Formats: sequence, C-alpha cells, structure tokens
Amino acid sequence: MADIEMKDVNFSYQKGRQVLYDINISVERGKSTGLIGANGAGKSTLLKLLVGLINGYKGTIEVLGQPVEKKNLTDIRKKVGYVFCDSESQLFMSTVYEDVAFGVRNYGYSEEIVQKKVMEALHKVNIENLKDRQIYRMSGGQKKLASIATILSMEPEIVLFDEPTIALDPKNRRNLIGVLNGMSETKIIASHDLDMILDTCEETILLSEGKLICKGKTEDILKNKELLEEHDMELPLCMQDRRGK
Amino acid sequence: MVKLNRAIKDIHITDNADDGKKGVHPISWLLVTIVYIIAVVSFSKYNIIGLAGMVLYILIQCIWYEISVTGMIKRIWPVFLFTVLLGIANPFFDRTVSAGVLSMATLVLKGIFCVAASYILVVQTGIRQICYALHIMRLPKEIVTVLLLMHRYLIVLLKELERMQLAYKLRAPGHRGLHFRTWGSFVGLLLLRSMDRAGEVYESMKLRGFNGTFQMFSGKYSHIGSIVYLIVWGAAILTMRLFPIFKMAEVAIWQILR
Amino acid sequence: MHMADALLSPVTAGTMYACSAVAAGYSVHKIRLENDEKKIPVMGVMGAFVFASQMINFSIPGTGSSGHLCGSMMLSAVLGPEAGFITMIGVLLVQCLLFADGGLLALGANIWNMAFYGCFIGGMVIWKYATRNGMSRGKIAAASIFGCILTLQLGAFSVTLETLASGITELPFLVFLAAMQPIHLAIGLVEGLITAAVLIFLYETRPEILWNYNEKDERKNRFSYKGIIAVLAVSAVVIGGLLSGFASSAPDGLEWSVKQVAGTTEPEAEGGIYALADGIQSVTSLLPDYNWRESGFAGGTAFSGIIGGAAVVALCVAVCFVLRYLRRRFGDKNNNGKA
Repeated sequence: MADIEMKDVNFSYQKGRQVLYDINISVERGKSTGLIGANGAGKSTLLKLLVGLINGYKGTIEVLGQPVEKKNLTDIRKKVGYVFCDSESQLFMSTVYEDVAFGVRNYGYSEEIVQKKVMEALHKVNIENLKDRQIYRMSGGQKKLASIATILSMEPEIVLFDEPTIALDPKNRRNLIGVLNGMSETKIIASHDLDMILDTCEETILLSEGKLICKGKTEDILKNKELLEEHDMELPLCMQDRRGK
Repeated sequence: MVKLNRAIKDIHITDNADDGKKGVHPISWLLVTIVYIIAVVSFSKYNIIGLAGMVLYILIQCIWYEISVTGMIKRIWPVFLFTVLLGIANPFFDRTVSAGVLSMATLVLKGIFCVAASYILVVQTGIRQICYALHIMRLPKEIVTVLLLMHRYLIVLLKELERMQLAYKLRAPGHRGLHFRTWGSFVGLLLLRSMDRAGEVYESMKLRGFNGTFQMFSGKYSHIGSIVYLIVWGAAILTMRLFPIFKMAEVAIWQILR
Repeated sequence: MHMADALLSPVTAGTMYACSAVAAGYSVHKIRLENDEKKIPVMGVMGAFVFASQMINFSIPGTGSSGHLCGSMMLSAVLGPEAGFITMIGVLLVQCLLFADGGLLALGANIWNMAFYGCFIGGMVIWKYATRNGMSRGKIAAASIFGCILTLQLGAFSVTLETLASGITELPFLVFLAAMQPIHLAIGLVEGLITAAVLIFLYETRPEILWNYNEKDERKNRFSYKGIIAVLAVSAVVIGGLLSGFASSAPDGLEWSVKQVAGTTEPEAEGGIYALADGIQSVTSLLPDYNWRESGFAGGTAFSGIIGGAAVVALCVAVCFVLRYLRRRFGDKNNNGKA
C-alpha cells in the first residue's frame, strides 16, 4: 500500500494564483523520493499540503490511508515529520535536549520515556554530545542534524525534507547524506541539490510551474539533460563535463 | 553596531549557567535576590553604614561561586553613572550639604548593589531556569512562553539586524545612523521577516503536537540544599537589615584602631 | 526611561507592581478568550524583534544626533494592545535580567510607565479610535505621532511621580518635571515619526497584519488626512504647552498632588520595617552620636559617615578573603557539598 497518495490535486492561494495543477503522486512505504524543480515550482507547497499546514486544495490527498482533513491532522502529524528548510525556525527551544523532547512531551509521555526517545533520536544522527548545547551556539550542520532529531524522536513513519542540504559545507553535506541513507522511514526530499538527490533517492518527481512533468527512477531523470534544461535545471555536477579538465 | 555587539555578548555571558549545576533551585535564587533587593532599597537614605554592610552578600556570592567581577563591573558601570547623575542634585537640595552627600552615596550604593544582585541571579541560574521559577510561581503561561521564545530568538534577530546594518553601512558610508527615508522600510522589513519567522515557528510547533501549552521541566536540584539556601540567606539578609550589626562593627573598628 | 531599583522605595515599587499586575491579568484573560494558538509564538518572536529594533540608531535629520525606539505603540498596532502589553512585559523582563536596564524591583513601575501607556492608551484608545473607519497613511501617521508623544509624556510624568513618592532624589518636583517632560516631548516625537514610518510601510506592503485592519473599510475610506494631521499637531502642541504651563503656573497644586501620592510632606517612607529597624537601632546603638536623625547634620558628619561605610566595606572584604582562604583550603569538601 502506498504511504502517500495524491490524486488530481489542484491548489491555489487565496489571492487566486494557482500553484499546483492536477498532481498525481503515490509514494510507497520505505521509499525515498526526490522532489525537484526550479524556484517557485511548488515543492514546498506540496510538502505543506501533506501535513495540512495549508489547506483548501481540490482533489484527494491520503497519508497513511487517512485523508488529509482537519479531523485527521493530529493523527497524521504524529506520524509524519517535517524538516524545515530553515533550522532556526524549527528549533525554537533553547537547548538541543529541550527541543528534541518538545514533541514527545506534547504527546504526554512520562519523563523517563521522553529521555529514552530523545537519546535514541540523538544517537541516530550522532549528536549525543551536543545534548545540552545552546542552539544558537551551534553550526549550521549541527542545527540541521538537531532538527532531524526533533522529528525522529517522535518516531514518524514518513519524513518530509525541505531543502535539507542548503547552506551546508561539503563535509556536513556528506554527513547528512549518510544520515538520510541510514533512515528507514518513507522520505520525500525536496531540493535543488541534484547530486544529493542522486545519492539518496530511488525515485524522483520533477515539478515545473506547478505541474508534474515526470516521475521515475532518479538516474533516468537526472541524466536527461534536455528534460532538465527545459525546466530551468541543470545536470547534477557529477554528470557534467568539466571544462578545462 | 557597538551596542548590538555588546548585547550579543551579554546574552552569551548570561547563558553560561549550566542547569542544576549549583544544586540550588532557581526559586530559592530568585526569592533570595528579591529579599536582598528589597532590603537594600528599604534602607533609609542616610543609613550608609548599614547599607555598606550589604556588600557582604555580593562579595560572598562572587567568591563562593567564582563569578567574574569584570563582567559584573561592566554591568554596574552604566547604573553607577546614572545614579551619580541623578544624585548629584542631592548635596544642593537636601537639608544640609553633608546630608545630601550621604543621601547621594546611599543612592549610588543602592544602584550598584541591586544591579550586582540581579547579575548574580542571572549568571547563576540563566533565563531558562528563571522562567521555570516564574512558572512555578504561577505566572501566566502566556508570559513565560513568550519569555522563553523571546530569549531563543533574540540572538537570531540581533544577528539578522547586524547583517542588515552592515549591508546598509557598506552602501552608506559616513552615515551615523539610519537615514530617515529608510526608517520605514528598514524596520518594517525586519518586522515582516520576524513575522514570517514566527509563522514558521508556529508551524513547526504545531507539527510536533503543540496545543497551546508549553511543557516545562526543570533540571535536577537538591531540595534540602535549596531550602537551606533560602533560609540561611533570607535570615542573614534580614538580620543585616534589621539589626545595626554593621554599625557595631564600625564602632569596634574605631575602638581597635584607637 | 527605565527606572532603576535604587530609585524606588519598596512601597512605591509594590504599588506599581500591583497596578501592572492588574493590567497583565486583564490582558492574559483577553488573550485566553481569543484562543488563538498562533498568537503566542508571534508574541515571542515579536518581543525579540522589538528588542532588536531598540538597538537601531535612527539619525534625526538636521540635528546630527540619533534617536531610538521603545516600541510599545508599534507593537500594539500590530499585535493588539493586550498581546502587545504581554510582549512588552517580556521585553522589559529580559532587559532587566540580561542587560540591567531597569531592575527586578522596578519592573512593575517600568511596565506601567513604558508598556501600559503605550499599549493601552496608545493602542487601545488612540490607534483603535484613529482606525475605526479604516486606515490611511494620514491616519496612521497622526495616530502614531500623537500616540507616542502622549504616552511618553504620561510615562515621563509617572517616572517623576514614582521617584518623588519614593523620596530618593532631593530634586524639587518642578525641576525634575521641567527636566523630564520637554526631553520626552522630543523623544516622543522621534519615536512617533519612526513608528509612523514603519506602520505606513506595513500598511502599504502587508496591511492585513495591522491590528484593527478591515479590508471592507478600506474601499470606502478616502478621508482627508491633512485635516487630521493639522488637528493632531495642534493638539500635541497644546498638550505640550499645557503641561509646561501647568507646571509653572500652578506649582502648589502639583506639589499638593505629590504629597497626596506620597502620603507625607517629606516623602521618605517611614514605618513598618523602617520603624522597627530604627527602634532597634536606637536601643542598641553604641554611639548615640552616630544617630543622624537626632544630632542633625553637623559639618563633617557626612564625611565620617562615608569613612565609616568604607570601613564596613573593608571589614566585609576582609571576611570574604578569609572565606576564600578557607574555601581553597577545604575546597574539596565544599565542592562535594555543593554537588
């Protein structure tokens, strides 16, 4: 069974600008799916629709068998994690531990279980040593890992990533790719970083101006120079001919 | 710019407090500080001997917990100047000149002691633990949550402002401040960005099950230690305030010297 | 305009705490009624914003000097007066704890002087009234300027009253008032201009975030704002003039009112803890000569008093050095005790 099903989804903001046109997507359990497209293609909007952060869409969206409607949101959000593009907004408590514990505590677990879950989540992204660190004293890479831990502590079945590698240096990026590949949850990763998509996702969806252009194996799409260039993208760096070499 | 950097530094200084390291509950710290400040402020304006003795609390805290004195002096300096400025009129307007000098001296001392005591509180507990204490003291959760979030986003917005100011300065060399034509857009944009940020923060909270109430959990404290701390310091401060022990000490000093 | 702890007597500070607590209680109640979950994070981040915006230097055209922002009027125009007030409490608390602007004891007074007037008079009365039939640039400008001037005048006046009621400074009331009000007239004008600039910017870019904004009103609203500006400018001048005129023409009335507030002609609070302390002091005092109150203020008394104070400080320092020595000597034991 598919974890995420979108059928004929159309969406426009109140002011009338249509952002998504007739989107049909299904994502299977345990799969990693890349979501690529130029700026303003509708990637973030699509992700936000899945967790009900924006509503008023037309068509059907089902997450884990439940339609995305107001009455199901609490249930869906418990099982779907969302890693924001800007870690600074995601991490609103003052220390890593407090932040990772925030979600777990809201679901009413005892403090012992909270502690256990927090430590497990920190272990998964290898930042146990940063447990008591003040958030604003951390580097961008550390913050990103901490953001992922805040989601993992809630033991989600699906994790959505919005531009996870943005503003990371090569080493942190490499490290993050390792973390992403180590996660067994169903993932959708929206990004411009095509090399990262190539390293982490089996399947890829290409969006352009709110329309689903194609969906298929990551390698097939990312090798297709004409297709990418037609929609304002370029080949991943590792596939480009480097001049002067 | 200088002010901005100082603010960022100040926040860093006061965040060094490790939770629960001292073993004393923040509520004890807060109450003792408040008792101390009230005691200091309540000294009559000519009772300089009794007031001077209150320095004991500050000194003992500094030595016991190895608090940076330079940091404290930096904090005290503006208040010192301010109280001197305000008290400068006292020698001219008080009953006699010497009474005025005395009342000015007590005013300055009061200013110094109160700021020093607050500084010790913040350095020893940190904002988060003070929030926890306020939460226990039944301050409305709205205020405590706003405080916690505010403290978290202070640095973020200060750094954002720093970048904006730098960008402005690089393109407007020689300007002492923000040109009035850019007042609206500069501050307005910062405000809009802050609003957008707040929107994202809310979304992030919402996605992790936030239902309007922040769950607060404290560090680990020694309960007996906290009670003892509260009682011992409370009693000591009240004794210093109510009994003229320092006056006796002063007399004793002169006797011995003689 | 931050008051320091040293400027207030416990009684005045307590009274101001009580006043501010009532306003805070009302605001919290209102916010709970609104039941808007999003409001809390917005308030938190906006508090940080106000704090940051207070760090900006605004250069004032033609003067070479620069002004700063307090922000409570601006905050209420965005969040509404109640949420603005609670946010300002947060701002003032952080300022007092982290930056020693104001103090823990003076917090109640500072909340009243800076947040209450700005949010409730500036936001709930002036802003709401000015924008009741929709907004325009002119109305926003007029409300901001008039609101800031008025609320800062009120704030400055409260500072004067509170200081005098505490009997801290010997400055005569009128001298103090004459120093405070005109300065804050200028400060208020600058704050008003900045607030107006920012709110107009918001009105033009994202009007829906302003409090009391109603889209329907906007279409029918084409009111001449020149008239309003003229009216408000005149009233600002009149108010400023009235305050200073009142101060010079009716000193007795004002002095009388301070006496009413302070309760005594000499606003040095006595009684309660003081009386008890003085009682004990006069009984136990070893050298009655040191009792200032009875001996009056002979020349040199102040000098010897200060020397005495210094001696006490020296003694305390000595005690502390002994303590430090002991602590080092038996350091391990103490550390165990602490942990």
